[in-house]
Amino acid sequence: MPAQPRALEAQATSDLIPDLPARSGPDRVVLLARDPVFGHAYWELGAERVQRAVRELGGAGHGVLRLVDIEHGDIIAAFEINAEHGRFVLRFPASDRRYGLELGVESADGRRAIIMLHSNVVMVPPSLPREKGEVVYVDLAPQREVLAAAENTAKPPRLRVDYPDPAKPRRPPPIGSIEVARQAAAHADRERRGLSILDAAAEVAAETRRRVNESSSRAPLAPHEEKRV
Amino acid sequence: MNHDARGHLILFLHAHLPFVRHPEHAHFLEEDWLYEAITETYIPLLRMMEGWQKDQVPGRITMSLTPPLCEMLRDELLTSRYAAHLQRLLDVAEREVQRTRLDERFHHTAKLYRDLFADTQHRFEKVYNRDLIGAFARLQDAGILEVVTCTATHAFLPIFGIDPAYARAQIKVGAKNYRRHFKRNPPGIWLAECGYTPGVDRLLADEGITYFLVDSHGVNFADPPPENGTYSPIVCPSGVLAFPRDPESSKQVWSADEGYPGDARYREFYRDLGYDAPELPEDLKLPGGGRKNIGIKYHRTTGRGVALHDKQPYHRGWAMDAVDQHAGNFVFNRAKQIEHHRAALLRPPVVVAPYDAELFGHWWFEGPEFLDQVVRKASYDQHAFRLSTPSEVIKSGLRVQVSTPAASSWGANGYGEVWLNDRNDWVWPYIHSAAERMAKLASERRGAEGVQRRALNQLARELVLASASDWPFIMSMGTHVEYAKRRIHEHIHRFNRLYDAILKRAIDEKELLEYESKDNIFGDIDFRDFAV
Repeated sequence: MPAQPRALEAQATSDLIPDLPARSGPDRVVLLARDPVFGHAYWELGAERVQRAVRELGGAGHGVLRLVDIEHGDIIAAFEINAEHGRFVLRFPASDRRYGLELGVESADGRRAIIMLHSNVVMVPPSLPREKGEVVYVDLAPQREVLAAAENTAKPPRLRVDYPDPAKPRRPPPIGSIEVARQAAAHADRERRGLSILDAAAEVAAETRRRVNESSSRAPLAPHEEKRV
Repeated sequence: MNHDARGHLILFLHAHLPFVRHPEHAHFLEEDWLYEAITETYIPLLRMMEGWQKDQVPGRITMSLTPPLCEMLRDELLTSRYAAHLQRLLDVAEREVQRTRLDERFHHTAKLYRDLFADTQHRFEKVYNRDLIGAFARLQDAGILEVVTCTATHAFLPIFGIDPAYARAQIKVGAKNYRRHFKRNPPGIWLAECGYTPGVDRLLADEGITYFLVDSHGVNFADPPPENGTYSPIVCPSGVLAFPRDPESSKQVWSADEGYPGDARYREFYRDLGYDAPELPEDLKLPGGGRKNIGIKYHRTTGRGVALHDKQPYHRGWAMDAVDQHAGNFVFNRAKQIEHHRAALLRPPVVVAPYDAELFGHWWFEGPEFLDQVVRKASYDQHAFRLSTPSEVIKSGLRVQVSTPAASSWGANGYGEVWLNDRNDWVWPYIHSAAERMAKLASERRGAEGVQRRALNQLARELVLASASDWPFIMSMGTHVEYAKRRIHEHIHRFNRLYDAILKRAIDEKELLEYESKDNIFGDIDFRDFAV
């Protein structure tokens, strides 16, 4: 963006900026996947609901935010928080899987909890290449048809295609398994080497190129190796 | 079907500015972003492409012109303000030619600016009749340029995973805006910040959009892993193609350490007459008399680490030598890269080189000349690849592997941290809440008419303006932060007031008219596009 860092705030601050309300809207807890490693949560919960829950727990308790592994239904981390409102950055134990949050109040001894809000579910992006799947190539005739109708703005065409998804259906291994430990070790190795996720992606690209070059030096891909749709 | 054995090089420029328009002020600093970009980037790019047309060079380039940019370039207030701004600039340039007449270090450069501004004014007023979108559209009709759209206000969609109705509305409004300005359907889209998350492609398919761009790790981590890596687009099960960014060609231009723009012969961006001149007209200063950049710069980068006050005078001839060398190097490298991978992959590689358009001309003064030389050399000096657009690749008969890209962006570190961190995370509760309320109200009031309908449409405008990715981006970068905060506050404040008034059926028409006049983006917006 054409912008300059020097002496530029004068005009913007000269006008009155309207205040925003303390609460943005109704009670809710939201989870956002910032990247394969970190998530961001925010929440708002009415003070009355929190106080009522604390009373139900015998008058003593604190807010709790729980990270849930959606694939297995396991609670994998719990954080003591202010239940009424807050923002929180949390670390996902493993990437390429779904997580959600529970927000509530926990008794002082941690043995009872009242959960009042559930968040949306997020799919955390992968930080490593996926497992190989079926290789399916397609012709792009439907896309060409849509492009050919470029001037039909009165009734714009939709792209109506449903290719079979060759991604392998899979249920990620539970947190604490050897596979997840391996993934965590890969993260740790990358961090130790000072590699960002983009650097890691570049490594993957180089490896892909190497594999492609190797395979092409042995023999070209035979047509029957492609599944045509 | 043309099964051309050569590879494809797609040069892609993303042109975007946030919607900044302040009729309540005679001069507004942030409006300069548009004026600078018109003078330094958009008109130079038009000049370059019209040169190809005139010389019958088979040049091809793809550009995203975002909806806010299209709206601003066709806004009467902003175009008339730009005309006045350009005249002031031309007056200063004329005076500079006189002032430097005995100083041979700077006189040639002063004349260069005077001539550039004069040509810019001639084109803006006489050739384009103040309508740059029309000029881009004519180049598209001539087959030189392919224009694609963007999300309505450059919203970063991965953060709207919790609001699929709103993500759909951002795409729908972007597509409609494109149809209004270009009288055709958008062939593709630039997802703001290359922000993709699985599922977005289905929303694009509904709008008849056939492709988008992703960063390279979006394809390297796709499911299943593509055989051709980043040397081919992949197609999602929905039918929409993802074209991956090529890291090698990006690095040669973008890299702070190795990129071409850092060459000692190119013009220095940060040393500007706005600060150096002993005197300047008041309307080229900040309110209160402070200084700002005005776009006349007499020095070259000189070398890495050289302090601003030690920069040496700019020499146009040397800079053009650098352009020639760098363009030749870029084309040579692409040809070698494509030849190598064609042999390895046994199919024509597709290399996609996307850049921010404003890099060319605004940040990198000689950028348009570099692009011009790249296209001319690529057209005549090599046979390894041809310049293509994504649509041409689709039409070429290439078969493409089915795979779903991984969630990703081209922002720092490849995901969402630029738009979601401790400097800007406070905005999201307000924006998500507004998006949710908008969807509910739009669904409940589909049949609204009259002032209710106008208020609902304005509600949609305030929401899309608040959710531009530019504001959290600016907060992350740390410049113009107060302005970005102010914009979020103002749009959410107006949204909340309108929302309450609509619910209570107590709309203040005077207030509504004021909002409509200030935030007049998307005159034909339809609130029903935001319904669930």
